Amino acid sequence: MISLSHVTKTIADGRLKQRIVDDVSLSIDEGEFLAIVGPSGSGKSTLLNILGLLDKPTQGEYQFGGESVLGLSGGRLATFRNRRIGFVFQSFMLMPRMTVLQNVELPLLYAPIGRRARRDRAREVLDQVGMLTKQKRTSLHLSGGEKQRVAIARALVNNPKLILADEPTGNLDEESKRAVLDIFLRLRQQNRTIVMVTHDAEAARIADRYLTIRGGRIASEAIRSDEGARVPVAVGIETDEEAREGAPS
Amino acid sequence: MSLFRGFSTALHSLWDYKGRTTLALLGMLVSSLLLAFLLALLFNFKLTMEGEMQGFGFREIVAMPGQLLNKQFSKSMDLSSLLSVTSMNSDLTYQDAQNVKREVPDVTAAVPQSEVVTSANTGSTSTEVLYTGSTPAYTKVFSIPLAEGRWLNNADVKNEAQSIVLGSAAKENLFGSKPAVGKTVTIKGVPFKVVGVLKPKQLIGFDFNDRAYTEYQMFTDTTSVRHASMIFFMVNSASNLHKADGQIYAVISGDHHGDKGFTLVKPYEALHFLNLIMQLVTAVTMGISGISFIVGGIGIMNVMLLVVKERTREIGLRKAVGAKSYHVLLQFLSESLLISVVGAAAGVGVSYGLLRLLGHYYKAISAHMPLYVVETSLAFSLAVGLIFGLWPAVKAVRVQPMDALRYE
Repeated sequence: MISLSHVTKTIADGRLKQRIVDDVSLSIDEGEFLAIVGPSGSGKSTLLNILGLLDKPTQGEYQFGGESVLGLSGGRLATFRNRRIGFVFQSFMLMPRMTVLQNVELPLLYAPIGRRARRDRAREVLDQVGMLTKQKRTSLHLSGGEKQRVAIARALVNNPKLILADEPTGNLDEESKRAVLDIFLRLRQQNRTIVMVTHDAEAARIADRYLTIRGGRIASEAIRSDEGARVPVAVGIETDEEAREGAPS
Repeated sequence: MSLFRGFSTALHSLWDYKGRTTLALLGMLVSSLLLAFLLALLFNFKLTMEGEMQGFGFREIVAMPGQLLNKQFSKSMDLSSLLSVTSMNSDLTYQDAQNVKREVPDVTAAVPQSEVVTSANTGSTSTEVLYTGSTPAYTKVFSIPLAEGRWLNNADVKNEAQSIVLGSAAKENLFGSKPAVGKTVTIKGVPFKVVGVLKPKQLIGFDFNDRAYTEYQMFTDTTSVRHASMIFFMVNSASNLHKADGQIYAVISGDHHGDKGFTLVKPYEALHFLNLIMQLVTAVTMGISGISFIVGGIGIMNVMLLVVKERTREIGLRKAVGAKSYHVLLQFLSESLLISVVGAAAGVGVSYGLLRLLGHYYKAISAHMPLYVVETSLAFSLAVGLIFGLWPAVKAVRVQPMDALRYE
């Protein structure tokens, strides 16, 4: 469904040019759950932003559903994001004075959908994440876990092809983290295509595939066995031990 | 996103910044108040002045003694040049009025007026009045609202009746608040029967309230005055005013054997002078208000720039989930427009209140709020909202979603 080919992102820091993402090629199948891990500054969030069409690579090719998307205009990119991509952020990014329902409705404001249908759809996804009873509260009055569940509902509300999650459990306590991971597990069972950037080993373990990024490059790649063990698939990139060191503990 | 939804979102966003929004609103309120109040005041002043002019009417020509110094320019003049008239004794007569009425077909009424200051008494009370002689046709020239009784009529003329109509102040001085019709007032030793009392009336240069009117012949019989102080002519149409003016001049100067000791005044022409002044003052008002609106606009821009900065993450989020540039532009322009239009509407409302208050204390000034004043204020505010909201809105459009989402 998604194909990145030799994607590079370079930023200028004064006279120095720094490659944040360095010649990354990657394919993601429909229904796949991919976890991207790596140390801070390794370029994993930039890669996620490129996948989410929030950032453009300096070089390379990006195809989404067979369509080359890097040449799209700003307006078409916005529509593309609105229809096909759902975002979950570490810091939730909820509008503090809006109600839970209004926050979830937000992407639908930019979609061709009537008010009633918008409300119904927002309530449906709130029900899926167990937040329907709190739909009239403002996000100021929610716990961190509840906020992230609302943010996941917002990501799902447009029924996107791809869900991108940037450290979705990073700001949560253990109990909230479990509740959020349970939702991601359910989404995996529903064959949603998910890309999750995380430092959290437990969060990464629920993914089908596991990429380690170092210095902007894919350092290792593994898949999850039926028993839940990580099996390296990309030979010669990084040893299993090195991968463990790079992986979150 | 619909336009309504855009405005609704803008309203909610502004509500979140009540303090700043209120300050920006106040700026626009003051600007709009200044413009609407001054324009409405000018409108009402003009309305009052026109009302005064209409008291004369737009179809009238007044013959008065005296000569215009630069007569080569015109036989007649407007009220604005009255000060250029040389003072002289009147040679105008009742017969002049009759001759003009007979010989100038466009003249529908010719009314002489003459007056002297004298005392009037009721036996118990005495006061100074402007004892005035005129004709029943006087009411064709001036609209004279009556508080009691009637105006002089042809029967008074025919019967040489000793009838008198009192102005409001004369009646008040002689009879207080009691009815006067039917009572007797003695002027120049003649006992007059009061047949009517006028309501208070003001007109530039004319005192109606201190007068005691009787029939012209009775006036000349009881005084030594033989000449009319003025003759009022009513012309059948305003378009014939110029033609009639020349004919009246010819008739009277012919009667006076070429002695041109009189001048014809067309009060209507004074309106041009009034309009000129009003246009000038209106232009100055618009200029001052325009500056005030610019200051109000800068206030809006200041608030909106702060709002855009504080809501960078919100803008980023909206863009990330699908908002296009025009959605963002519309949202922030809506906010600046809402501030300016609501502020201006409040300003118009307050100015209307002030106008009513002014009208309450100064009854001579009318208190209308004409539609064009409301439209002008709202048009100014719309323009200010658009112009001064554009830069902050463009700044919001330029926010990159990725940078905005990282913004702390």
